[in-house]
Amino acid sequence: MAGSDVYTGTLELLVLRALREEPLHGYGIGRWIRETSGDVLQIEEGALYPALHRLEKKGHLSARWGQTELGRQAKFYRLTTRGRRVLKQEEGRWREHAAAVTAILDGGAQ
Amino acid sequence: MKKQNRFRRGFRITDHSGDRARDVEDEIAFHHAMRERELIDSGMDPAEARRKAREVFGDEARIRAEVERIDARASLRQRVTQHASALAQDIRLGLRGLRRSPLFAAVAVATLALGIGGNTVVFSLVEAIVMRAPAVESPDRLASIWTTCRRGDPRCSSSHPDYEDYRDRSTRFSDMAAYTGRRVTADAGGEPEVVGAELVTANYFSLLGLEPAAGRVLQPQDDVPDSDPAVLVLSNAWWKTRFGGDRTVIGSTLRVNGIPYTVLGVAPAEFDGLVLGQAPEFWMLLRSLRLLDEDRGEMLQSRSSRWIQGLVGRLAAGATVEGARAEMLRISDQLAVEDPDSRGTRSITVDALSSRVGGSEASIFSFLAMLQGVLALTLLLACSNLANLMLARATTRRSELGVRLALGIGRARLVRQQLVESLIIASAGGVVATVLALALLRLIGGVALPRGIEISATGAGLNAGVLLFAALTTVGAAVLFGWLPALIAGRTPLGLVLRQQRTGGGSAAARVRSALIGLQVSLAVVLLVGASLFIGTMRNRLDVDLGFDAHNVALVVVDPTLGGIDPEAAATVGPRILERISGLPGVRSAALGRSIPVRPGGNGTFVEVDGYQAAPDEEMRIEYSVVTGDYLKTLALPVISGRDFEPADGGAGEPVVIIDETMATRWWPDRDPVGGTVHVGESSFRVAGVARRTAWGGLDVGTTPFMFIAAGQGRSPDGPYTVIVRTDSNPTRMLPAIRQAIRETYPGLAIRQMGTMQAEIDSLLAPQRTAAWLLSAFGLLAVTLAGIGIWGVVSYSVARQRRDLSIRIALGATRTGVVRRVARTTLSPIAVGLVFGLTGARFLSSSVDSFLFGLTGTHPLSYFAAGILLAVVAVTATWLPARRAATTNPVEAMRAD
Repeated sequence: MAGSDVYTGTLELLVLRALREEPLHGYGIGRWIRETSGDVLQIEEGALYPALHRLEKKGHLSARWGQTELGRQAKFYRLTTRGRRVLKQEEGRWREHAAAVTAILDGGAQ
Repeated sequence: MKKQNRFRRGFRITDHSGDRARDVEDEIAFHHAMRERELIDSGMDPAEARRKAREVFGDEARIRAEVERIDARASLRQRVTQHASALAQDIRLGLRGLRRSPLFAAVAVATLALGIGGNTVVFSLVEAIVMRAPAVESPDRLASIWTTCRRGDPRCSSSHPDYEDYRDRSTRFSDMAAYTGRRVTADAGGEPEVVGAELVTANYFSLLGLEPAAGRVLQPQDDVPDSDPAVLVLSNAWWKTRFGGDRTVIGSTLRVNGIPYTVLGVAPAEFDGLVLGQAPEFWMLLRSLRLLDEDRGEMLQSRSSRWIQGLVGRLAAGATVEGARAEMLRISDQLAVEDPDSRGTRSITVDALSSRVGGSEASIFSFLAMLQGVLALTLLLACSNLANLMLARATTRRSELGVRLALGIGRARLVRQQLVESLIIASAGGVVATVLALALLRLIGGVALPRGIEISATGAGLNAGVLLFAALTTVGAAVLFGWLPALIAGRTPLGLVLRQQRTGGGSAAARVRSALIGLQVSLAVVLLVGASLFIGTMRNRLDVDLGFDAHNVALVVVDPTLGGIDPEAAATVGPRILERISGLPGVRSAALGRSIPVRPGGNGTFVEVDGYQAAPDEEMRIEYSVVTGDYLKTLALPVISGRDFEPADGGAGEPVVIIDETMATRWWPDRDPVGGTVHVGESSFRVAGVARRTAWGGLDVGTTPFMFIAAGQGRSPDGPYTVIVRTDSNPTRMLPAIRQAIRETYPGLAIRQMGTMQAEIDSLLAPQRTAAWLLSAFGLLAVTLAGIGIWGVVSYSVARQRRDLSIRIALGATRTGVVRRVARTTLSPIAVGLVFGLTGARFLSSSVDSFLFGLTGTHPLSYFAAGILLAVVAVTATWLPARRAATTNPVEAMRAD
């Protein structure tokens, strides 16, 4: 499986997770997701930006222009307190969901 | 360029909407650059990397558009929050400012509460009386139809044949109903009660589109001759209060004036009749009149017997009120030709049925208009006073404003802050005003408006419309007193403020304040002139010689035809009650009469007088009362020629009458009426004497020819009549004993009403008293406000010129000179205000003429008194602070600076 579609809700969860440790710019977030998933999750890279701006609007992220290590101007996104709370919730919900799906699949195999 | 960008971006939060598109572009460009480098680093050639980067990104145009849309929504929300937080800040600032000057805030809120509250109360009356249509189906398709009187009143009652002709000949009305109010005695077991009934034609409810709340209402079939006329429909209110909403009452029997009636059903709750202040307890058929009052059976046939109070028609499809009016005039012309004797010059008036005020509406409408006018003036005055106070405050707060300006706050923002402060004050005033209005409405529920309508009967209250009015008035007031000071504050010159200049500047504010003083003086003068006109009216009314002695007279209305008294015995009821009451200690004399002076409701009839030839269009209509022998003596109404009644007059001898002065001078202009003959229908009477003229059906003396017929003589006061008792002292205290005496003589006798003659007169004066009281109260408030305003302006001007004045005093200026210099600021606006106020009052006075008595709206003394009072207050308010300036110790004043 060369890649799989990522649903909007899932993409937002991944974005929040990507920002848990440190603020990143859009490219950085995309790259982090790509590399952490071992290239399994292929996102249409442009799709990140609507998600980022939507999350900013909801107040889960805050954004500001800053300098990269290489001295370039980039827009950095940071988790807000609210975003951190939402990440925790969504993460829990995803795990439950995944566990349930796994359990069903396992049951079916026996 | 880049440097500058960086600087800007460092400060930038993402809400700079102008650069929004640019922002997204930059972000995506950065992404492409980074992606390309990554691909190149992994060994791709630059051109290929550039293509690949764009490919994995996806449809850039679509993504960019989507992001921009998201951002646009976000920034709208941010804009709203931004405005809200600015407003919250303004409100906080305003509240802080008001907390710092609690006296100003209290005065401002109190004056506004009075002004807005008063206006709200009067508007609630206007809403209930003028603007509220009756609760019937499509009231806009209904019209009232009146027959004109010969006296020229366009809206008078109609006769039953008139009604039938109007209804049958009209094509513009699909149907027409008649109604007339009546006091009757109802007996549903227990003590008989006197209640209001409305006699209506059977189509009344169907024409109005009213559905029963229980049982059934009257329907057109009820007018079929064979059907039972003794049926009635209860009003919802009475059904609930008297019968507790019990459904078993439907079909039961209710005795009306002793006659058994069947209760058909209950009217809908929202409907309480078409006439304001005449909410009936039940409706019955017009034709059941015969049952109630047999000797008036010809009333349904006689065209000259105009006893039907009102007619209501429903317009046919496509017809207009104008069209119906034109058609009615044609019908009136036809009737005049067919029946010239009884129609004469009468015409027909057709009005849209827009409110529940029937008949001659002028008095109550103009009374309300006058009240609303007075209160609007007061509110205007309160606003101008507040504007003045705000200006003074703004001037003392100039340094504060200057600092804010210097810190870069926009002038528009400054103006807005001032307006917000005004709105805070006004809102507080509005809230207090609403509470005040509620309390006032409850307090004045018993106060009578013209035509005896009590305020509580109008259904006036603080409903949504009235509250909206209060809210709009509040905002209007805030703008009125807030915008000028706000604009002037916004124009504050920065440099001037920071230099703390005391003597110069603020000339715009000073001019506005002078103008406001002039305005206040003129408004106060108008209110004062009005107050003194109404006080004069009250005095004249109280001074008027009614011809009889109204003190120490108790009145009790009884009806011996009711309450299970045998008709045979009814004739002896009066004499026995009189005998019993006359024997009570403290009673000088007692008499009975169908009518009494002042109180409305006499009997009318047409007469002929021997030796007098009536003019072609003259109606020889009089009012009369059947009275017992001591009637004139008990009222202390003097007999000016001839003799009073004698005990023999009630007997079998020649029937005699006593006529009043008005009748004597009208039809015996140059003869002695004593000994003359008056014919009423078949009966003839000899005139025994002439009584002093008095007032009938109101307080206007000598407007109606009146005749007293002695009881006996084939006529007895058999219906409801009034027992008149002259007492030695306070008649109110005698009422229980009188009631007790009547109860002991005839336990079942219906007692309709108990009171005193003085109370009767007082209730008729209620509208004038209300107006006099209101105008005096608001006039005094106005004078006080104007005084405070003037005092404030002069004090301020003294404070501002303190240094200057002390130098003058030190240099030897005289006290008078100083006073004159200070007073100059206010004397000319006061003078101008007086002139404008007196002229304005003269201009407005014609609108109150109809409420005045014994003087007209141009009564010079009223103007003089108002002018003098105001001038004295204004000059005192100027002189006090000016004198303080003149007595200042110059050394102290200089040192203080």
